[in-house]
Amino acid sequence: MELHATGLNAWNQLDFSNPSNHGEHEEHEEHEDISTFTCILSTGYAITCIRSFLSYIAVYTDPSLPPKLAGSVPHTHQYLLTTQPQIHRHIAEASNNLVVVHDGSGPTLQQHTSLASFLLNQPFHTLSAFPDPVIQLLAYETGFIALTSAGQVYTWGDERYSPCLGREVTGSFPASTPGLVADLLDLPTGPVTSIAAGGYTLAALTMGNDLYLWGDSGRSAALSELKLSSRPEPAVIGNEEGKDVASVAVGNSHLVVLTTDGEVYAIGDNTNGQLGISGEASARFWTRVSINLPDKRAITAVEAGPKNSFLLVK
Amino acid sequence: MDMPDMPKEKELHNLKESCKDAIQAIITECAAILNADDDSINHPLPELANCGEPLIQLLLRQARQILALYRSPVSVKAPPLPLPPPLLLKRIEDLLSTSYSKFYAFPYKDVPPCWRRLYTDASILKFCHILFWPPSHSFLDTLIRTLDLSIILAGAAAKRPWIDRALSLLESAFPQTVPSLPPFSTREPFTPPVLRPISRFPSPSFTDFQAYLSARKPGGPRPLIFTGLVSSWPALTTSPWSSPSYLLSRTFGGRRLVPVEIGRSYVDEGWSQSLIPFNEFLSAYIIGIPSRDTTPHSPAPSPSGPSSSLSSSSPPCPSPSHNAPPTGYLAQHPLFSHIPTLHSDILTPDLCYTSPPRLPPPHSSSSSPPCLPDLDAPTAVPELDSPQLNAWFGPPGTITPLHTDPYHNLLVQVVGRKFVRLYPPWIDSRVIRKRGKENGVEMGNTSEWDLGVLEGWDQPGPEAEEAEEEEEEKEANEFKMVSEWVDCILEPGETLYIPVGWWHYVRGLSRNQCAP
Repeated sequence: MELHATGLNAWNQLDFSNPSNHGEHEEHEEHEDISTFTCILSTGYAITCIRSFLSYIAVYTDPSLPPKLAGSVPHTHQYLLTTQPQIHRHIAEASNNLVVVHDGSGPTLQQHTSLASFLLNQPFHTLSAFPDPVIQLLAYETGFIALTSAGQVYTWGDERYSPCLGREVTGSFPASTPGLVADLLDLPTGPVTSIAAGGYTLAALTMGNDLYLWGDSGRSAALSELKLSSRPEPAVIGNEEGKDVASVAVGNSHLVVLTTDGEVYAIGDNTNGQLGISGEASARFWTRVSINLPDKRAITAVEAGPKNSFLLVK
Repeated sequence: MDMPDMPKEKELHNLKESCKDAIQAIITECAAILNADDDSINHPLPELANCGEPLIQLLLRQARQILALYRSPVSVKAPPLPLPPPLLLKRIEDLLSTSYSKFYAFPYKDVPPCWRRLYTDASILKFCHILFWPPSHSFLDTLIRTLDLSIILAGAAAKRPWIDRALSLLESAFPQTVPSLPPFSTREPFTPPVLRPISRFPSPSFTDFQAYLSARKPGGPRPLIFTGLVSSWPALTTSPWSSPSYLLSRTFGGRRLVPVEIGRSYVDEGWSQSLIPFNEFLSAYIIGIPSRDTTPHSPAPSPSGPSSSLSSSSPPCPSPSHNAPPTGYLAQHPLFSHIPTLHSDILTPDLCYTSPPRLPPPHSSSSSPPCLPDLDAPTAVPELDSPQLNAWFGPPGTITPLHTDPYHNLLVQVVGRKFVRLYPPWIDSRVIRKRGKENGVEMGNTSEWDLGVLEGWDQPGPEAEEAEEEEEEKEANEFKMVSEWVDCILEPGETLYIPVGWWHYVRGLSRNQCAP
């Protein structure tokens, strides 16, 4: 499998060629960002998970192996990787320091005030509003989104950015505790099968390949044309009816999608080359990204970090 | 016009030397953080360390690169410096955007100080970069904007003395000439009637005022006007704030940035904030269209609330909107700490150092003065060590809607006139229609009533007309029946004492002759 990437490279995080490249020694050289999708990793294993943080990238392959790392890993993350590698893979860390930890299967989550607080075993909140096991957990800038095995989506976070919650905030369903996003129930193309989140934008993908987006549109000028609101709305990408979407990823202020016919579209901020379209500072509308792959290769999924985008290629 | 032909070489040299020192200080601090061993419990790391190692590495690399490129001695005859790679400025912008996004991710009061530090250090690097390798246009404005943003957005953290000095050296190196402009107009398009005037007194002594505050009058002390309290202020005499030219001369020829509220009032729809140069504010909102008034506002040291916040966390609220051209208002800004050259024009009144009573406990339904306030009542807001000074500067028609503050205020009118109406703290919160929490922001200190509309001074906005119902009318009448308010028109040089908890509605009156 191959991993193709584009975007921020301030910590040389797109270079997996050097095995010691993860913050052990101090960098003196400044590395240019990458502005078109480029193969950065080729492995005989299946890539099962990519965690892209601002300054480093962790690629999970075989469950028996530690993740491959590139970039500069903060001390707290290094400590987590060493002591509790299974937590690292699923941890959700919001930009306001809040951290939610999940063992990867059960219906209960733990919310900590910071990663340091978690590592020091300090008191935490237990979040147990979920009727079914949580199968996906992600952070956006100021909150969290979780998907259960029954296809229900829950959100919670800072009330100042209530559109990100995609639901009503009331006395019985406050912003700060997980609340069901009712608009994502009983959708025409079946239940939600995966979610994505980044910055102040959230996304849900249905079994029938419809993409729903919502969030606080005032927070990113580059995404203003998406006209996001607190109500999840289907995204129309590629043609007038909107192509079926196979995979979606959300960064700080950009989005990438893979359509079921194998095309890649991107929108948003491109300051660091995160869209894979060279020459433009941003794309205000969904823009097709041209990818040159050898014949027998196919893109299976897209992923994103705060200022990076990735393609998984088989 | 922008890049003056002949900067003063000596001052410019001093500024560049000062820049080198600032970069070296950043390098030293970053290196100390990155080289710290695990013994850091005994040697606490600087605040900046909380940004995490990767961002400190990035900051350190840019600082080192600037200094390395700038190694050659500064002199008129020095050979041209090697040009920096474009990536250097881009990485500085990456540091700025990363720290800037944190100002929004946290509530204003909870932003970890490390992000303000990082933003400030990156701003200093950007300033040095622009100074060493000047771009072909907007050189001076970009330099000033870079440092002003770090003051306004990040508080400049511990680098404030360096930034003030750098701005002062920059102004010495690039002296500004200021056009000669006539004083602000004193015309008023509309003057509300004063029906229950507040008593005026010349100038009380410290002890008289303390005695007035401490008198156990039911409901606490009442509003008062002092006519002679600030008559010796330079702002009213030798350094006239009524002169646009003088104000421009104190703000780097008007190039310093100020935060401006666009919209008639902060509860109006479409209200927003922006940061623009002072001269642009003057010409777009004060001299060009309507006119002016200037007021420093100095709460006494007593229970205090959060100080003015420039995070755009106060969202616009549904309320009357108007189609008139936008109003620009420099409101509730700590102008005197932002631009210290203006601070010498005012003297903090001694009265700000009195110990006023705290807010009496809330009374929800009584419409008579409550019993004696409990002077020792615990309150959520701590006493201030020193008075908070804020400034307001806007054209006629700017309104601060009916609201209360968590501290005692002295409102000093410097230029132009202001209408103020005050309601006592014991007014029923249902009658005054306290707002609640709106989009996660507590608006409980603000009333829903638009006094100007209720009194027929202003046109109601379209939404308000739709909401015209019997119930609305009944509640409006109930509010109009409240008879305990007082009002005044504050003249230049007068000071209004606003006791803590008193609801106040403030309206600028004067207007420029060019207005339609």
